[in-house]
Amino acid sequence: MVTFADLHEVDPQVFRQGERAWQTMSNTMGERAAEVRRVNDALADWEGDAATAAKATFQGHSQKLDACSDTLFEAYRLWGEAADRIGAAHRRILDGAAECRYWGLTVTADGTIHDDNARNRMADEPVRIREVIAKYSGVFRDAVTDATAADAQIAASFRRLTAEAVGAAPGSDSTTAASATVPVRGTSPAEVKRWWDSLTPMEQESLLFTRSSELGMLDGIPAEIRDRANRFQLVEERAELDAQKQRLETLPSRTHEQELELKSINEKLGGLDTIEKRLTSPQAGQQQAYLLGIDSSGNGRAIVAIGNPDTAANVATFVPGTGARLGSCGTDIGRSDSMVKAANRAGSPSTASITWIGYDAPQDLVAAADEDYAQNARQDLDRFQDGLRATHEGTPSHNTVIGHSYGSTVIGHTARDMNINADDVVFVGSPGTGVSRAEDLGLPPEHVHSTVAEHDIIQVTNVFKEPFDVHGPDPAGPMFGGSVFTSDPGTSSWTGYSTEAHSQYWDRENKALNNMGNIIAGKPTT
Amino acid sequence: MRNTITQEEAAKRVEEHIHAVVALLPKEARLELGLSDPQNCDDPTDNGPRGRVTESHDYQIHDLPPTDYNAYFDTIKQWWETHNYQILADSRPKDMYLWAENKNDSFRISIKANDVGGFYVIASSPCVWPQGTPAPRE
Repeated sequence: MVTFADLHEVDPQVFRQGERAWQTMSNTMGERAAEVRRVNDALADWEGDAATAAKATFQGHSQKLDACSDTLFEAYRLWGEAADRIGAAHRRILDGAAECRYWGLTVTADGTIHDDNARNRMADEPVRIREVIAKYSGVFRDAVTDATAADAQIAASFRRLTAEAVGAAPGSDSTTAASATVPVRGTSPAEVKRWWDSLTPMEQESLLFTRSSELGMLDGIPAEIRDRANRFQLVEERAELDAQKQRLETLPSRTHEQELELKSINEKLGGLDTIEKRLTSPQAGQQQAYLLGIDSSGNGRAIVAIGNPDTAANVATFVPGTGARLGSCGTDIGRSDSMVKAANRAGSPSTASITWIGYDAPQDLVAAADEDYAQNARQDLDRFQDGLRATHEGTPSHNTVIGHSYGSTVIGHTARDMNINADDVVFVGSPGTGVSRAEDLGLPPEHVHSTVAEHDIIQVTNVFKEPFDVHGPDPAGPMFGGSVFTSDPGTSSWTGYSTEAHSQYWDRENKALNNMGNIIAGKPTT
Repeated sequence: MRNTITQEEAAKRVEEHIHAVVALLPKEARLELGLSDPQNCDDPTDNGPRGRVTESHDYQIHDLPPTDYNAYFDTIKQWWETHNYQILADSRPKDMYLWAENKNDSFRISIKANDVGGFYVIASSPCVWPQGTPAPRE
C-alpha cells in the first residue's frame, strides 16, 4: 500500500538509476554468453569424448548466461515501468500541491486539503475554493490509487524473477520461460510461426534484442522481424571478423595459411559492407532490402530479399552456383535486383526476389563435380521455401525458385528428394539437376523452365552420357521434357564456348532476363 | 585487355540510344526514370578481368494508349532495321518484347510492354573500364 506521504516524498530518479544499472548488467551477461559461444565455436575441430563433454558444458554455461541476461533485461524493463508509472503519479501530486498553494490552501502529510484562510475569503471565492479542494482531493486519491496498483504489479513481476524461476540457480536444468521456448533450427516453419504469433509484443521485442542470432536464421519468423534481428547480427559478425583481422594483422609475420585467412576475412568484410550498403542506402529505383540471414563462418552465408516476400504477390528465390559465398554476394544480390525489375516490367503487381546464399557452395569447378554440396543443401532450401509459405500474409504468393549453374543442381536435388514447395523452378546454365526427366522433380513439366546459352561452357559438362555426366543431362536438352526458353548466345571464343557466356544471363537485358521476369510474374515465356 | 570508352561516355551514349526511340513516339509520351546507375560486370565464375561496369538505364513510358503499343513496336523495329541495329529478338505476339544491338558500338536496347499497360525502354552499354583503361592487376 502506497501512502500519499510516500508518493509525495519519492524520488523517481532512483528508478531511472536502477533501470540503467540493470540494463548494463543485462548487456554484460549477454556479451559473456556470446564470448562463451565463440570459445565453443573455436573448438569445433576438437573431437572425442572429452571434447563432447567440454562443449556441452560450455553450451550449458552460455545458455545459463543467456537466461541470466534475459532476466536482467526484464528487471531493466520493470525499473523503467516503475519510473514511468510511479514517476507520473508523483508529478500529479506535486502539480496538485502547487495549485493548492496558489489558492492559499494547505496540504497535510496525509493528503488532506485545508483552507486556513477561510475567514479572509471574499464574495464568491468560497464556492471556487470548495471546487478546488474537491478537484485536487480527487487528483491525490487517483494518484495514490495508480501508484499503489503500479507498485503491487511491478513488485509481483520482480518476485517472479527469482533465480529459481529462471533456472539460473545452481542445480537447476531449466531456463527462463522465454529462452526455453525459442524453437531450435530445424523446427517446422509452420510451428515456428505459431510460436511467434503466441508471444506478446513485449516478449517479441525482448527476444529480438536478446536472441537476435537465433531469430535471424529461423524459417517461419516474419521477414521484417528476421531483418531486424539480422541487422543486430550483422554488427556482431563484423565485430567478430574485425577482431580476427586485428589478431592476424598484429602478428610479426604470417604463414601462407594465415595470409589466405586474412584475405578471406577481408573479403567477407567486403561482403558485409555490400550488404549493409544495399540495406541502408538503396539506389534510386531499387526496392527496400531485407536481411533474412547472415553468417560469416566457413565461406559465409547471406540471404538478402529485394522486396518483402511476406507481402509480394510474386516471390522468387535465387540460388547462385559455384563460387557463391558471403565475400562475393554483390553480383548475386544485383541479380535479384534485376529480376525484380524484369518481373515488374512483365506486369507483376508486386515482386520480391531473394538471393539465397544459404548453403556451402563448391568454390571451383572441380569441386562442382561433387553432388555432396547439393545433398547437404536440400533440407535448408526446402525449409526456407516452407518458411516463405508460413509467413506470407493473405493470398498465397506465386513462388519461383531459380538456380544458376550449381544452384540448379541444388534445386533439382531438393525438388527430387524433398518435394520443394514452389510453383515454378528455373534452371539457368545447368550442369544437370540430378534427374533425367522433368517429371521426376515432382512438378508439372510446363512449370520446369530451363535455358542455356549457345556458348555457355557449362554445356561441356553435359556432352558425355552417364555415368560420365555427373549431375545428369542438360535440362534444356530435348529429352528432358521441361519448358525451354531462349537466351542470348553469349560471348563466343575459338572453342565455341566461354566462361563469360555462363555468367551473362542477367546482363544487358539478355533475353533470358526478360524471360525470367515473365516466369516470376506468371506470364508465358518465349 | 583492351581500352574501352569511359563510363561517362557510356552513360551519355545509352541516353542517346534511348532518346532516339522516344523521338519516334507521340509527343505526349512521358518518361519516368527507373534505374540509371552503373552495374558491376564481375562474377566469381567468370574469369574475366574485374572492375568493369556497364551503364544500364531504364525508363517507364507513360501516357500512351496501350492499344497503340503494337504499332509503336512496329515503328521502332523498322527504324532500328534501317539505322544500323541488329534485331536480336522480337517475341511478339506471345510477349511484347523487342531487343536490338547497335552494330557500331554494341550497345543494346530493348522495349517491353505488359498486359497491365506498362511500357518500358531499357538500354545498356558493353562492359567498360570506368576510366577507359584497364585497372591495374592486384
